[in-house]
Amino acid sequence: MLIRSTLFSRLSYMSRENTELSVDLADVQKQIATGKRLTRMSEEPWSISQIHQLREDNSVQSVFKRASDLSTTLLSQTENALTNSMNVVSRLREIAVTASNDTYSQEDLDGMIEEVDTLKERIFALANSDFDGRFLFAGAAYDTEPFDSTFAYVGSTNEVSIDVSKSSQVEVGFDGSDVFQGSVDIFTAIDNFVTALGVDDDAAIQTAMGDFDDAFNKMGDYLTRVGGEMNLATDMREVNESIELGLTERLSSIEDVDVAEAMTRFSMMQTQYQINLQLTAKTRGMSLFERM
Amino acid sequence: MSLLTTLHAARRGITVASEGINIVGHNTANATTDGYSRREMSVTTMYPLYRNGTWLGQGPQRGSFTRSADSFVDQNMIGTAGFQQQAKETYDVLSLVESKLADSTPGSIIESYREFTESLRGLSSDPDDPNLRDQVVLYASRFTSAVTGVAEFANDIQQSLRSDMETSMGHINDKIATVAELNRRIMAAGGSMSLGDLQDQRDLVIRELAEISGVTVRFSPNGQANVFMDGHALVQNENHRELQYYEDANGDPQIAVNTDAGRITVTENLKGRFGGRNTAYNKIKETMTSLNSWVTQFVSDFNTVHQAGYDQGGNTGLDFFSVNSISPASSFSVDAGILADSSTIAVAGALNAVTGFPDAGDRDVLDQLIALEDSATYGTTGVYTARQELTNIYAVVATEVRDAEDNFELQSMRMEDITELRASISGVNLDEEAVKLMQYQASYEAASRVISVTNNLLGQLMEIV
Repeated sequence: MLIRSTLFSRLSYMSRENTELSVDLADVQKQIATGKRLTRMSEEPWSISQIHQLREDNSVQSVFKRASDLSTTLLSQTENALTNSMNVVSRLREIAVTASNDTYSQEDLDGMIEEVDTLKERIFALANSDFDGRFLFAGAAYDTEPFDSTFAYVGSTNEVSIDVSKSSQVEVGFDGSDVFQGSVDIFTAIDNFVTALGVDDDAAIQTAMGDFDDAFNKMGDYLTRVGGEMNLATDMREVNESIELGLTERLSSIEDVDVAEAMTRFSMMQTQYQINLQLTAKTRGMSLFERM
Repeated sequence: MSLLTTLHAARRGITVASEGINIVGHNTANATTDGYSRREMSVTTMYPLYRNGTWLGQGPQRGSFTRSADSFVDQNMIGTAGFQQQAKETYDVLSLVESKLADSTPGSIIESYREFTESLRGLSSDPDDPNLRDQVVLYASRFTSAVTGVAEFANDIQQSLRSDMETSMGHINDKIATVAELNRRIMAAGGSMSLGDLQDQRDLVIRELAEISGVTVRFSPNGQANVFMDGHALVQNENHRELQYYEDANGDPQIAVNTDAGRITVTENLKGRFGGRNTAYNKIKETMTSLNSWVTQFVSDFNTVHQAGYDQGGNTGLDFFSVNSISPASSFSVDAGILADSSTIAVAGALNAVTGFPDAGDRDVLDQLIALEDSATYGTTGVYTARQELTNIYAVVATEVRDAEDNFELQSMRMEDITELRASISGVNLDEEAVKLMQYQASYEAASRVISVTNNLLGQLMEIV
C-alpha cells in the first residue's frame, strides 16, 4: 500500500492498464479474424514440434491418398486389359475346339485362320495397352511399349509398385513377359495354332488347346493378383482418409481457436476496456484545483 | 513593543508566503514533468529581538529547500530501467526473426521443406513423369530460397545491430560527460533552489544511460551520483570515462570501458537496449550456427545419395544442392544443371543393360532420398530427424522470444511498482499543493492586513505629533 498517491500516477496507471488491455483485445481480435489460436510460435514454443509433426504426417497422408487413387486407376485399367485378353484366349480355345472336329473342310479352317490372326493382333494390342502413356505390362520400363513388332518382350522384368502408406505398397506395373509369355508364349502358341490349322494337324491343334488353357490360367492368376492389389489400394485409401481426418482434427485442436469462447473473451475485455476509459475520464476531474 | 518591528515581521511573513506560493507554482507546473521531484520549503521563526527588557518576535524566515527523493528508490528505478529495456530490445529484435521464420506461412523454411519432401514422395508414384520432376525442382528451389532468405535477413539484422551500437557511442559518451558536468554544477549550487532542478536533470540523464546501456548508480551523501558499468566506474564525482565500441576477431560487437590501464570489455554484462541487442545478436548467431550445420548435413546426406543414382539420360547424379562451407545457409542453392533440366534428377538405382538408360519406374535411389527424411542423425546427439532438428531451431527462437516477452512483462511490473513508489515519494499531489496554496494565500493576506493596520496606527501617531 502506498502512503501517498498523485493524480498523475493514477492517470499513468490507468493509461498503462488501458494499453495492456488494448493489446490483449488486439490479440483476441486477431485470433477470431484468423481462426487460429496460435498466431505466433512464441505463444506456445512447446507446441511447435507437435504441430509440424502433424502437418508433416498430414502432408504424407495426402500423398498416399493420391497414390492410392492412381494405383486404383492403373489397376482398374490392368484388370480390363487382362479380362479382355482372357476373353480373346477363351475365343481362341473355342476355335481350337471347333477345329478339332473332323467335319470342317480346309476352306472352313482357312476362315478360322483369319479370325485367329485378328485375335492375335487384338491380344498384342492388349499386351501393349497403356494408361496416359504408362504401359501396364512393361514392368519398371513403363515408358516404352513392352512388345515390339516381332512380339519380343522389351519391357522390364521388374515389377513396379506405388507406396500407399509408409509400410504398404501396391503392385501396379506387371512383367508382361510373365503375363503373356510365362507358362506359355501366347504369341508363339497362336502362331503354332495357325500353322496347325493350315495343315489341319489335329495333334498340334490339341496342343494349342492346352497352351491356350495354360495362358488363360496364367492370366487368371494375374487377374486375381490385380484384384487383391486393388482391394489393398481401396482399403488404404479409406485408411489414409481416416488418418488424415484424425490428424486434421488433432492439429485443429492445437492451433485453431474456439471462436465462441474467443468471442466471449472479446466481449468481456471490451466491457472492461470501456469501464477503464470512463474511469480515466472521471479521474481527470478529481482535484481540489477544480473547486477553487 | 515596536510598531516598526511589527511591520518588519509582517513583511517577512509576506516574503515567506510569496516564496511558498512560488514553490507551489513550481511543483504544480512540473506535476507531469518526467523525473521531477517535489520541492518543499521549510519555514522557521526568526530569533526574537531583545529590547528594553522585552523579547520582540521578528516573524518567519525561509529555511532550506528540500527535494523529496529517496536515493534507494531512485537507484532501483535506474537499475530496473536497464533490465526492462534489455528485455524489450531482445523481444523486439528476436520477434523480427520469429516473423521471418514464420513457421506456418507458405514459403517459410519448415513449410517449404515439407513441400519439397512431399514433392519427392509424389515423384515416387511415377519417377518418369516430367511434371512431377519439375515440381521437385520447383519446391527444392523454393526451399533453398526460404533458407537463404532467412540467412540474409539474419545477416542484415546483425549488421544493423553492429552499426547501431557503433554509431550510438558518441551519444552515450556525451551523456556520460553530461552527468559529470551536472555533478560539478550540483556541488557549486550549494543550497540554492536550482540544486533540486540540477539533480532531477542529472538523474534523468542517468536513467537514459541506464535504458541505453544498463549503467547502475550510487548516490553519495553529498548529493553526487557515481555511475558504474559492470562494476567499473564511468562517472566518479566530476570525472568520467568513455565507453568504446570495437569488433573482436570474430567480427562480433564488443563494448569496453576506456581506462588508463586499457580497455575493459563489459559486453557480457551489458543491460539496457545495448544489452538487449547483444543478447539478440548472440541468439541470432546461435540460430544461424544451428541452421548452418543443418544445411551442411542435409546437403551432404542428400547429395551423397543423389550421386549414387542415375538420371533419365543414364548419367550418374549431380550434387543436387550446392553450398559453400563458409556460409552454408546463405549459399544454399539447387544445382544449376538440375534447375535447368529436371531430367537430371537421379532417382534410379541402375541402368537397363539393354537400353543403357534406367527403367522409367526405377526409384531405388528416390526411396533412399525419401528415407533420409526419417533418418535420425541430426543434432549434437544425432537423435533427431531433419524436420525435428528444424523444429528445434524454430523452438529455440520461439522460446527466446517468449522468455524475453515474459521477462519484459516482469520488469515492466517491477518498473510500475517502483514508478508508483517514486511518485508516492517524489510526485506532486495537486490536492496537497492546493491546500498549501490556500495556506500561503491566507498567510499573505493576513500579513498584508497586519501591515495595513500597523500603517494606520503609525499614521495616527504621526498626526498626534
